[in-house]
Amino acid sequence: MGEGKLGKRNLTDRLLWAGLAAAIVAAVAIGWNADKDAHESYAWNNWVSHTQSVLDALDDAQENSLAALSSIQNYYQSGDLKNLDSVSNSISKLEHQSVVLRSLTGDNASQQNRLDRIDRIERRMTVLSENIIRSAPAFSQPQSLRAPEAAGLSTAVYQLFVQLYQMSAVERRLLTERTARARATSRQSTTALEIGGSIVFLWLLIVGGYAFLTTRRLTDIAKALAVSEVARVTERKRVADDLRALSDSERRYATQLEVVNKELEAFSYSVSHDLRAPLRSIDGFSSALMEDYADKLDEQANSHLRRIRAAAQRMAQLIDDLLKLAFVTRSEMRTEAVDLSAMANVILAECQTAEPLRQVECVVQDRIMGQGDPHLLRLVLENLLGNAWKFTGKTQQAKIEFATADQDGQAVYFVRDNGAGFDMTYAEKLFGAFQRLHAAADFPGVGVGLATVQRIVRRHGGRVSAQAAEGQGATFSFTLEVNHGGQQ
Amino acid sequence: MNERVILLVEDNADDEALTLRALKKNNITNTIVVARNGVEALDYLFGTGQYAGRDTSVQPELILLDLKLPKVDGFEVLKKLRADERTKLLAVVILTSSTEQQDIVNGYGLGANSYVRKPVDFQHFMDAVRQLGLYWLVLNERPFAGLRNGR
Repeated sequence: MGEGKLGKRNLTDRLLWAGLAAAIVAAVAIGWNADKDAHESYAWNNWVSHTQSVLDALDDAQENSLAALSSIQNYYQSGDLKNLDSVSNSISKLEHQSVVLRSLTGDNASQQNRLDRIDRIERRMTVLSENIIRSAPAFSQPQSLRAPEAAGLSTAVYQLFVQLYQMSAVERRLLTERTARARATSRQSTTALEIGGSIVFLWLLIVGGYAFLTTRRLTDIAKALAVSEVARVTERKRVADDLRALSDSERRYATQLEVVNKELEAFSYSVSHDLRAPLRSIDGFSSALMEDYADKLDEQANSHLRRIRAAAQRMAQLIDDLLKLAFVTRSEMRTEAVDLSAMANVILAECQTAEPLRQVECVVQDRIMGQGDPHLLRLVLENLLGNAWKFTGKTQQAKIEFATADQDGQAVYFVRDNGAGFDMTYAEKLFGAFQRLHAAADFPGVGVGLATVQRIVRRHGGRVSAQAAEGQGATFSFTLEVNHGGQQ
Repeated sequence: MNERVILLVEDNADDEALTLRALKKNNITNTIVVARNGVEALDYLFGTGQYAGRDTSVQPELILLDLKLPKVDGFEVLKKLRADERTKLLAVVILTSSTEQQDIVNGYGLGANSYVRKPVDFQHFMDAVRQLGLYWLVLNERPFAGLRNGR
């Protein structure tokens, strides 16, 4: 009997002890798990504040580049060289900021690449502004003489701003991602504690007979739960703050970009007006000289004057093309379905009208549709088909083709010709502004067509590439990715 | 010289010389009054400043107006002359370097009759001036023309 009683008590004891042990094991496991999650959440939070400080640094740099831009504008307007000191000042601040950014983004190769570019632009800006200071003769030279210098500098600042903007776009994406991760892990750790806590609590109720032993555990768990609740509230507040800061900076960047665009617009206005005026004088007075002094000028003199006039007119064309190129980058985009086949047919018909004697076999695939801005896409096709038309000018049985093909689920559009082609060694130069692979005497043009094409295709989130061999024609292909999350 | 006046509002001395040359070469014999900024143009039109006492009932047959001018710019000149009874019906041709959409829209918005970009090629410029002269001084019917002829 006594033995039986004893055996029963032993059994209960054992059960209770086992229950307690299980509760302790569970508590330890949950605690460990929650601790791990908390650590992870802490790490993500660190990443969030790290990204925030990168964004702050980028913010400062963008403000400095804006300051540089307005100093350049002031210099352009007034001719006061003091403004160039402010430019140098902004540049040295920017240089310092890129050092900071370089160490902050050491973990990110693409950001480091952008910083390399930024460094190059900053060096170019220093050289440009030093050149102006060195060559500026006196306080007041005519505004039009300052235009090209100021244009060079402003373009550099704009490129810099674009790099900074791209950097901050990357960081903002990282911030969103990291904030989400931090939030998720913090939620995980809280949930683990809550669920785990409830289970342990139940266990502890079951082993309530040994309350005196478990009191401390219970208090600990209660404490842990309380702590986790506080942590969760803090975390929530922090995430909310981060998100608010994020949308604030987003708005600020948008405003800054708008300011820069406005400035550039005003600037291209001045350039178009001021740079053309002296050219009109050069052309007009050369022409006056040829007319009024015809009897005194020999053939040699007339030939010189003709060259001067041709050069002035060519420069006017360059200015117009540059402004067009700028327009391509800053005009507003609207996206719609565009019938590229119809567009291609119209353009080729226009080419034929301009040169009715040429016989070119034009093959345009039916109903090729593309998503994008109709005005800009027309420029793409005009340039590519126009080039094909131009470079088949010396080809017997010229043929131009416009078609589309599916490549890994993506539509690739291509323009193919059997014209002059080019050496692929120079292919990378092809898309730079004012780069030409043929002598102007062979094929006329100023070399902004493909630069225009590349800018437009990039704005549509696509890629453009070329395949060719000298004397065996060229194929230009491009993609459009507006609808697949590409950059706009 | 023909006493019907063309008012040329132009601050660039080279452009002024070239425009005068183009007018002369095209046998446009009107009297040309040159205003080198917006203030001078308004003074001529309203008989103020250096033109104080001018008979403002005689107004230019045609105004060739540059946009970017010192002191008062072309838009301001246009706005003021369209707001005044004496000058609101004058023929104004904007003759400028700019083809910024904004300028063209503003120009027409303020009541310009025409907008012409100065070409760099002087032959083209000659051509533009010839056509402007033919259209605005010969073909086009202006109000008050009969009145003035009868005077």
